[in-house]
Amino acid sequence: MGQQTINGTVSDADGPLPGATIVVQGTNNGVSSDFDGNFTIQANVGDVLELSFVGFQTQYITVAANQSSIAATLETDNELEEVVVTGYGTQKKVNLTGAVAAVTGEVLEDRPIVNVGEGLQGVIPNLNIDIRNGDPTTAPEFNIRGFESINGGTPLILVDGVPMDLGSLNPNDIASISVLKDASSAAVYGARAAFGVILIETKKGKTGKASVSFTSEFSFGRPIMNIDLLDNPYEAALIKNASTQRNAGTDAFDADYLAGAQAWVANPTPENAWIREGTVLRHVGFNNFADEFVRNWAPQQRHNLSVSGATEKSNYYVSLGFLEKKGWINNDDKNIDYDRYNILAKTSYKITDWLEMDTKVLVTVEEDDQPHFYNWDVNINSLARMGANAVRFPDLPYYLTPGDRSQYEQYIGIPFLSVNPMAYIENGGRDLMHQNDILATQGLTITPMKGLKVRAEFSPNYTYVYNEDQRTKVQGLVGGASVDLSNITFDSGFSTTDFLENRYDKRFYYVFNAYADYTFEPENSNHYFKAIVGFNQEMGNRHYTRAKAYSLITPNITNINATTGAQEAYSGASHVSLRGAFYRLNYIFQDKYLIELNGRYDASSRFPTDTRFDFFPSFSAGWKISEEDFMAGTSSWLDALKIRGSYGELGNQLLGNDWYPYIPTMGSNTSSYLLAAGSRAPYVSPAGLVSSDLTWETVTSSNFGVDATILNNKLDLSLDIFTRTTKDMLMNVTYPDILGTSAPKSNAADLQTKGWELAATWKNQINDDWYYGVTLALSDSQAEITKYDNPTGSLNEYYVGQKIGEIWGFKVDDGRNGIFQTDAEVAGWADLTKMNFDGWKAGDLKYQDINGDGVVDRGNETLDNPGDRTIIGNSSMRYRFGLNLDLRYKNWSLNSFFQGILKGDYMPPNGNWVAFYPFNAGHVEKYYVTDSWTPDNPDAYFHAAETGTNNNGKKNLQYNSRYLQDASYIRLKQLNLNYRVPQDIVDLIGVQSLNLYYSGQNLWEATKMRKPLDPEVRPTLTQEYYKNRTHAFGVKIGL
Amino acid sequence: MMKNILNKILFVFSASFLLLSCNDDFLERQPLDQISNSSFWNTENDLAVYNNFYYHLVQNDNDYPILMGHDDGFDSQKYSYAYLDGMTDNTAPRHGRGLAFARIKTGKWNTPSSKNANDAGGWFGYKGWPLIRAINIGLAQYDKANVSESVKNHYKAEARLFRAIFYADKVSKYGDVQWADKELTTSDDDILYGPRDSRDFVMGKVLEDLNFAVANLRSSNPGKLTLAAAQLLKSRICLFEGTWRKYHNLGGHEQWLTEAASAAKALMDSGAHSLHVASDPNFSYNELHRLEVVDGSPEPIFIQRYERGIRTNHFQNYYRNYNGGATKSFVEDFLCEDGLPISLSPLYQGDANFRDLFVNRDPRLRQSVLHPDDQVLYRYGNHGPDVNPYPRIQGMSGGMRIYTGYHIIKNFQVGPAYAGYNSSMTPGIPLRFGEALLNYAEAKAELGGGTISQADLDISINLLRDRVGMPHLTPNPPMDPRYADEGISSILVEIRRERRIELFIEGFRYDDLRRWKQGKKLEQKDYGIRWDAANRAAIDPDGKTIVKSGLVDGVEYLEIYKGTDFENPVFDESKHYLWPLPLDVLSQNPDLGQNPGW
Repeated sequence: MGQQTINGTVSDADGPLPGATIVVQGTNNGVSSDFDGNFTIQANVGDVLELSFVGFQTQYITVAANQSSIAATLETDNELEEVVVTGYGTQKKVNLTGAVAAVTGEVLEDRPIVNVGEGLQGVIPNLNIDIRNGDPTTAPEFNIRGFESINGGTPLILVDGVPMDLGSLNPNDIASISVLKDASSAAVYGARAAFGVILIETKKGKTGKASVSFTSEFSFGRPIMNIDLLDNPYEAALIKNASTQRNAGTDAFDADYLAGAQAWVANPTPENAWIREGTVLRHVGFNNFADEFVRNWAPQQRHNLSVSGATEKSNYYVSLGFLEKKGWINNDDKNIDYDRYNILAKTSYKITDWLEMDTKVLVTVEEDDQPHFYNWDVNINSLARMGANAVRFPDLPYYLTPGDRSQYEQYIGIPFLSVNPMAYIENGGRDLMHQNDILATQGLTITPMKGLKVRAEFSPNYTYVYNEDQRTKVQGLVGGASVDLSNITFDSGFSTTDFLENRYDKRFYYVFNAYADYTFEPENSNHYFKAIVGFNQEMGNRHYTRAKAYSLITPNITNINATTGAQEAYSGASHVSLRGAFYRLNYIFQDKYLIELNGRYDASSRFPTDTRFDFFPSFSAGWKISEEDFMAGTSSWLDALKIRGSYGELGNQLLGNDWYPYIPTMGSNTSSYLLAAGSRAPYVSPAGLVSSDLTWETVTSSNFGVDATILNNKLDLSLDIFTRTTKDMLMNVTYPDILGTSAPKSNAADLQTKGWELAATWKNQINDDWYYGVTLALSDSQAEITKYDNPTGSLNEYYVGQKIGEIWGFKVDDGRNGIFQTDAEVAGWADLTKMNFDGWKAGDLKYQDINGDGVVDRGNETLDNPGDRTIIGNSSMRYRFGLNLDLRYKNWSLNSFFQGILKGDYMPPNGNWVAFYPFNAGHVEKYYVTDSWTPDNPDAYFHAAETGTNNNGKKNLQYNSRYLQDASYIRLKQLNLNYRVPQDIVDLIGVQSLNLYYSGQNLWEATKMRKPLDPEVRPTLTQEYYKNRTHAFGVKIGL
Repeated sequence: MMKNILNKILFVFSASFLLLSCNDDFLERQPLDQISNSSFWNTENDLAVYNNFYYHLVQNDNDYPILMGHDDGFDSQKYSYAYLDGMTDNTAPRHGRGLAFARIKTGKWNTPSSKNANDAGGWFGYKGWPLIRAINIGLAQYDKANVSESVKNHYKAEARLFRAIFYADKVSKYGDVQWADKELTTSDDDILYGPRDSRDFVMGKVLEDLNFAVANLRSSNPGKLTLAAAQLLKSRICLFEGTWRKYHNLGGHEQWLTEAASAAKALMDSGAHSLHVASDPNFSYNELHRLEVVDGSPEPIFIQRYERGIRTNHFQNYYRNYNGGATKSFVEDFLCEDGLPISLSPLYQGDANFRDLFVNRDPRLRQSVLHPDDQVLYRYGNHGPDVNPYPRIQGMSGGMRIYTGYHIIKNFQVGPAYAGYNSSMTPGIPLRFGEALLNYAEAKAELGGGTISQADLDISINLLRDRVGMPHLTPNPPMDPRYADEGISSILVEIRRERRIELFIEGFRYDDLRRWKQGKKLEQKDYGIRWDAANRAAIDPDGKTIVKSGLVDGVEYLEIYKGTDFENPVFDESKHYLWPLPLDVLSQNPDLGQNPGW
């Protein structure tokens, strides 16, 4: 087969290079050079040998016929060639002057992640990603460098230059991710780049042999549930009684129940789970809903096939991806099912020397099928926490009197609706989502002369979304933990009003770019010029139609035609456009002094004609100190040192869905107010107030950075310090209510964010077999309001000097001193009646009278008179970090990734049914018993057991320092073990390469947050679709 | 070659400039799915759909406690006119979710921190201004329409009637309030940051609006406010203002009372409405309040309508429990069949035996409060009709338990009470003809210095009495000794009693006590049923009841708030007649000033 043995030598400038890797490209066939730099490898004619060593530039050598020896000299890397994608072009990393961080798509590989956001968490300092739950349809929240604006604001996310939702992208198709953090680097994106830009480039073919890669992965996820239910119904009833006694003076469970529960605990047979009282059958046992209905292991699978290659003339990359994620429901037919299909096809072809055309098509199909969402009663949260409640009509030997079984047999297994969420999950209808997204790009590149490149590209993006919400009638029995056998009635519970709702969304968006770049580098000179000028125009429109019809004829036919009730129809449409011209000028002198000028002249349809246009310039400069002659003495250990600084201005036009904030419009809709039976009242509402001189928020950012590479490229450091000022923030100035509407947005507030970020990498090839690397990303930011119109200092609004994230609350001591131990203590305490709660007694929290006026109150809720509230914490998450440990030995590699937050506070919300506070929801957990105050448990964390769902029951749930949670955490996000099957075995199978891997996600964490809180699900009030601990097994084949 | 290349460059750039030049409109994006002010206000339909917005808004009973109905979902536990009596001696809510009402009743409340506070003073509080803005914008635009003056005036009248009832409610709670009769913009600093306008001024404006509404509203306006509604609301508001001025010594009450009487009289004379008559005399009084559909009845003047799939409430399910039950004071106010109060009538059987309470009494008692024998008739229970003996007191097991022992059945409807979540269609009836009769009689009696003619009684109160078969009221009834020291005539005592009985849990009592300056009545403790050894043994043999008892004239009764912070109610006459402005409202505009005592 033409395979030949090649003997070679690898050396660097100083001599032989031991430990260099020589691999036949696209295969696992690889060897290392020995101590003298020699190696021997088998290869075919035409194969490309990849010669690499950490810190050196990789060399590619194509095997020629009859070639038997190779002598290669690797050049020190110095990252000379590392190129980073920046806006409308690329830049050598060493020449960057702005704050840009980049990683390759490798960080996303071999991981059972559903979307890109999961894979990027913690990877790039100050690219902050929060993922609210485990639902694959929930978009991760991206943020760059902390709090943006009081109006929110998000980074601009571009995939190959087109704004896109990252949630649906196939992580395997990503070649690189660049994050543009400061004004200078993001300036060419003008009015949308104020809060940074994330640039994603998709893969393309590599020169050399065609490469075919197939990956298949199966994983199993187990919900991270920190619930420890009290499975003893007798104990649960006792403590529950104590809680309702304290709140309302009544028992939740009577003596009959207690006796029955006690008997069941002693002998937990199915018969003992029910007691009889007259004609009433009562459930006194305990059902572990979580065990029964939550899957232990939810399956997920991913498969990817990609084919790519390139010649001098053409380049292609085609990939097909499939992902399926199943949910937490322990019923295969009724489980949550998310499927995604990704197709990416890219080709480019050089028609002539100077003309190249490229075409890309990216197709994403997403399908989601979930049980219809009713409300918090019917989701995993309540399911997992139901505890001691009846499930279904029981199967008993007899019901009221022996022998009457046949009379009631018909009801066996029918759920009681008031406490059984499974009935709704199984038969209450489905919420379906189907989304097709098609992005096409046609590009044209002309190279009319050396150094000049002109490119135009047009990218239309069509998105179609179809949602169908079915609420179908559930049949169940009236009742919860008891049933009156003399009066068994059927009901439909929450599904009484059944309906179908269909919604079609059509979205269109196009991006047109035309730009030219020109590089001028006179030979034998110290000068280097590069210029880019360009034009960008974008337009989008959206339409939707929604129809809803009530009363299905049968739950089996879910079509609006098959309904008999009232019908509603709605639609909406909007459009937006954007246009800008931009430039970037680079000048480098003596390869040491770097200067860059950026700017963009931008216009947005969201602003009035007169204030629509604005110019956003920026400037940056860098100095490669290590290149200076006077640094010659340090060159033995200091490989590179650069300092850089930037300053610039950007605009923020992002106003959420407020497309026409300057145009007063009247609303129109159909009211639920009924003029007569079946006759809904159509209405038109008055136009709101608008401001006619509305314009961009301006974001000024300055950045100072140092990049250093030391110890023979072993250690790489990059540090950035920044200040970002958001000026003229569009704020809803709060006027007295008599205005009767929300005030128009006006540019009236300022904010300043300060922070820093550090990226450090240590990598070391110890010898032929061992390599290890450590990467740390650490960052911080803090924001403060510097201007805001709040003359009365109301604490219900922002105020000047406010640190974003401040949590106001009362002071309560930790430990025994924070809880009244005796009623006498209450009597001797400051006056608590102004708190608007009643019945203060031993076991309640000792809210402190910090202003010493003898009364605990909220004052006027102003800065001047905040009563006894003070700043007890800050919910801004600070010192976010990611720590990557990479260890390789021969064919094995072990990669672990830790991610977390070092500082931040969380105040659990005190709304009804939030599970954190004991007895604030309907269940009982073990810690309710052990951690609630009693005279015998004076050091308990929580106040005395008290039902918190009533208004008065909230008296111990007012925001206070005692219950403030330290939200810092560290979580093992990823543990990856990869084995490269040796080449001789691979050859036997007949493939080019074979890798096997295990990848675990969210395997371990440490946090000071109390259970059942999860440090990563802070954004949610009650736990939703849980995050999983996932174990994945995958295989990756190269053909 | 070079020329070729230049051509290509030109091609690319000309292509791009094609897209961007010749296209000045590219950046002009007008709304696609909304109406602009300039294209509206042409036809009568425009005016009608604009005015529909007022009805749409006031469905929110929390922000707009006018024309109230019953809320949906979990808010059904607080936002309904049926709960408002919880602030009075009519009912005694003690459930945690109804404590805001108990707090107001007993004077144990503080200035709310926010207008949105989920607590006393937050509910139904100082808010709702978007309605006024909408009305004022409408009033400035109606004239643009190409319709006749009378058509315009009808829509103006509808708008102004809404404005009047909104302001009347605000004045009743806050005294002085800011008046706005034009669209405010952010530059109207003098109003935005100005002080409150005086009660006199605002009520003067309210009367102007009411008069305009009465003069211009159509008598037929399906599903919406009519002339009859304007007349009834005018009589209600003027009676409130007249009696408030009289008993709070503000002077000038005669004009208001005269307006109240004449507005009610006009409605009574119009023949547009009459009292509801039930097919079954046992339900003559309460049937109207238990119907799911009231369309055929002549009594409702305005209803909040509900229909499954469009708009529903959950009222029937929650209300039995959260109202706490009727009080001893209320039950004892019912006359005996001879028209005499229990303090005078030989027919009164006493309360030693629970059933005896109902013997020889005004039939409305047994149609308001559950008689033990009616448990089957009404199929009353908790999660479904049950077989437990009634009454049932909180703490006992099984069935529907309340605090006072007097289960309220006015407004109880068996079907929807146990039906699925939020599926009740029970209509809200904020305006009904019966009230006009009471307003008329009271205004006439107040105008007459505590006297009223038999003829006036016969066209008003006695119609209500006829409906339930009670003897007629005469101009000089014997004085109920229990009310002899209130400083009003015996006929006024009886007219007020009639009002309390007839309008029970329709949301009137709290306003009535305040306008009569009888807030001190709220310092009397709330009691439930007699709880002596005999009753205790009969009703709660296991002794599970958690409601404590107290002595009234040496006899034990359930004392609803005993052992709670509400045990000793306070009504500070210098403070509690008016509500406090929420702190956040004051912090936005300190010039509004707080009400005295708060």
